[in-house]
Amino acid sequence: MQDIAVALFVAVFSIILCLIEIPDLSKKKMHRELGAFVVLVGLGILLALLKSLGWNIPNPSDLIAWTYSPVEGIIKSLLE
Amino acid sequence: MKAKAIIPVLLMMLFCTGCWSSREINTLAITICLGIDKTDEGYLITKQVLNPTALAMQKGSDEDPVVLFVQKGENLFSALRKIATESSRKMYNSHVRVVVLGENLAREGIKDILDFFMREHEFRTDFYYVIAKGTTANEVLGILTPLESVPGVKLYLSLENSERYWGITSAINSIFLVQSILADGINPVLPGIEIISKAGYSEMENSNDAKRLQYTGMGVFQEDKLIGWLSEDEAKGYHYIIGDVGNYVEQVYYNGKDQIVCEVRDSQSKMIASCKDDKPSVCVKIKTSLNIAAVEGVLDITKQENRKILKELLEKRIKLLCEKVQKKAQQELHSDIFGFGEAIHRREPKLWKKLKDSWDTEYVKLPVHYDITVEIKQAGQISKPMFLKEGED
Amino acid sequence: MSETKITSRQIISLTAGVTTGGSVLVIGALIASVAKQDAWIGSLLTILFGIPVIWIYLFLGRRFPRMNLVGMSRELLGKWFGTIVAGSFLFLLLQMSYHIPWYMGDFMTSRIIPETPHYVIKALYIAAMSIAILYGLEALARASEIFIMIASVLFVFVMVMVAPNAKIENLQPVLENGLIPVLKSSAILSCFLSFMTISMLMIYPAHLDDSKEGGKSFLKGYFLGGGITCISILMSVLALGWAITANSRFPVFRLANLINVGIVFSRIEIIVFVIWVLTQFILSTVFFYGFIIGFSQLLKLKDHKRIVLPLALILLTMSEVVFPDVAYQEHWIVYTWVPYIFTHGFVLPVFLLVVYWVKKRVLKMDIGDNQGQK
Repeated sequence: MQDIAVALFVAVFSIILCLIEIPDLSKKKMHRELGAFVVLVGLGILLALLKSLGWNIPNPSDLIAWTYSPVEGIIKSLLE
Repeated sequence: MKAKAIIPVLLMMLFCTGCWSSREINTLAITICLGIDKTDEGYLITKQVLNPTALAMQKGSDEDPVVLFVQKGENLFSALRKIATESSRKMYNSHVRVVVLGENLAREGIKDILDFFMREHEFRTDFYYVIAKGTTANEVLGILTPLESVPGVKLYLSLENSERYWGITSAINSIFLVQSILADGINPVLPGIEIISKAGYSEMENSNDAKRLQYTGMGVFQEDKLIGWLSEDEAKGYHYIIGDVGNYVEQVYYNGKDQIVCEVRDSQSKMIASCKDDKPSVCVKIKTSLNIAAVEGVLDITKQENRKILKELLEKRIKLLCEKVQKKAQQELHSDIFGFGEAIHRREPKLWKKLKDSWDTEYVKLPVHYDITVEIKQAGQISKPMFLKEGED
Repeated sequence: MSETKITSRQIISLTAGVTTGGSVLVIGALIASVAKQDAWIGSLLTILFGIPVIWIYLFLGRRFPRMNLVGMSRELLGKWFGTIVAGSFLFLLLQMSYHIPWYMGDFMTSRIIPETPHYVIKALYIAAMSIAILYGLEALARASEIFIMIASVLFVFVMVMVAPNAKIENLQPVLENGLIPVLKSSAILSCFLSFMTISMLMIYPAHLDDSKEGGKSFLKGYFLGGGITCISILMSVLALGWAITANSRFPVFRLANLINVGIVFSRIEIIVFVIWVLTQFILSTVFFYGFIIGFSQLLKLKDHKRIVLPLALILLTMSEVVFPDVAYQEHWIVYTWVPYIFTHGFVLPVFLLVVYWVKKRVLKMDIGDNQGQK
């Protein structure tokens, strides 16, 4: 329920954001900014949507944990 | 442009107006006291909750100043929550002053209860624990008290007062309790409370009014289980040894008839552990200063030699108190309530590593010495006994 | 991008915020569980061990006074490899920028307002972060000056109020298990204290006129922040004992629970929370700012402020995803965060330093020293 509310909020927020930013950016011919902006907003909406649909978003913490799993033994010895 | 970009952020704020879980005071039921007993299928919770209407009316109200809620549950949390089925208001637990534990529960162990109190966010750590001696927490909380209209506040205040002026209880909060259960070289004590019905109260009509609550001695724990009780004198000795002494009253007899009553101003103690051939011993240094409160008899306390006698008498008296409780704790209860083990731990960490696992058996034969110094500071508003005739000794 | 200038005093407050924010409320428990009653010695040593680390940061900063870490690594390691290294560092900054909102939500809901949804707290917090960055670095730096001042005063107040509860017995016996556990604890604490200041390298030389003066302020800020953390750990052990400190999720909060001076000064533990929020806010905003600056540098964006709000949306969702539960977070913060920040906060600058020396001394290349921004 909360996730859906957040997704709605994110959607409304990004639409307003796009309405303000995109005309301005294209008017000033800042094409790189425009590209980055669109991609990031798209990613933001996508993530919120996936979360609200109950999908598992790949967790970057898992990735980092996996990267550093070989040194877990060293850390364990630190903790004793 | 900058201003425009901030508009969406401001819009965001619309969804974030504070006070989400705000609860107004007139929708709360403030818990002041909590009683916990063990039953066959779990816990029996007795909750003493303030009754605001009765308290607001000052006097002449027919209602009781507090309302009791009793509920059973398999665990503490569900029992506490079940109270919602009979209360119109949400319980608010941050103002709990005293938690009363039934004796049966204390004998079975209080670890699980402490875990709950340390974990749950609504409970703070500044309330005191009390054991209902020979009765249940439910009974204790059912008694209305004179002077204080709210029994929970009475329990709290008289606990602090009796610690300060009589020395048979000590006010112990969660932090201290958990510390002494966790540490190997110390066991906790908790004050006990009793229901008494004295003859002097009996002319009051209501039989419930004839009952009073009184603190009496202290419960001794082995780890988290209650194993025995200290009497009033023993509790006093305990306080002398750990150096947590309030304004106690001490009396000594001179020549078996002149009674001299003193009030303790200040008493400090130091436990010094030493080790000889891997045998630990502890020396307790106690330094007490007293004022003379009353002289019943004709001892001239202004005279130097009499003061010396008095000092020796007081030293003997304190030593007697200490030895009595030490003997009981060592030989009868086998529980290191004084923290002698911790004293060794602090002073002789290497020796302690060897002793740690067998401390319960080592403790019983630990030799303890006393080094007691007494100072008499003042003699009150008069110097010699008022009715001492000249030339008489 | 380096037209925005901040003063060296603001470097003090920013560094102090970064140093304190990562450690003051939470980390005492971990340190106490490793070093027991000697946790305070461990935290003192940590401050000491941090000095050479800070020196490395300062050395790098002084050689490249107009660059940040992204520029430095690209300058030293070449375009491709440098970009990869910088990207990995930026990823760390991004991680931290949504970890902190998670912490905020977690703390608020477990201690203060348990019925409020996480999202609302996080959204507010992320909104504040974004606003700070939209206003620019100067505003953030000025705010941090005020924040640190308030936080220090409140901190001293809380510690003085707690002092009557302190028992010296809780520190004894000193060094019971020798020095090894103490060193171990300080190795762990470094990962939350000293290495955190690597994020300041996104701000420190590039936005400062006088990098030498700035270096001094960097150290001063580090000592201030480290001192606050050290004292908070010392007082936790003094008043609570190490066992309870190690068992609490928020030891300093529990510590402030004890305050009862007179009738007036009781139940004021929320002050600790204020200190934490203020310093934490500096920390997370510095990390977020660093990420945005570095990211727009990699993408060659002219105006970094344009991507702040889209990123804020991503932070909001990610702060919910990042730790599914407390147990996961507690495991992650020890077994993953420690080596993670170690590689980026220690190995990376040392590596850059070695490369710098090799290029300068062995290959005799003209490098660093007031060269322009790449």
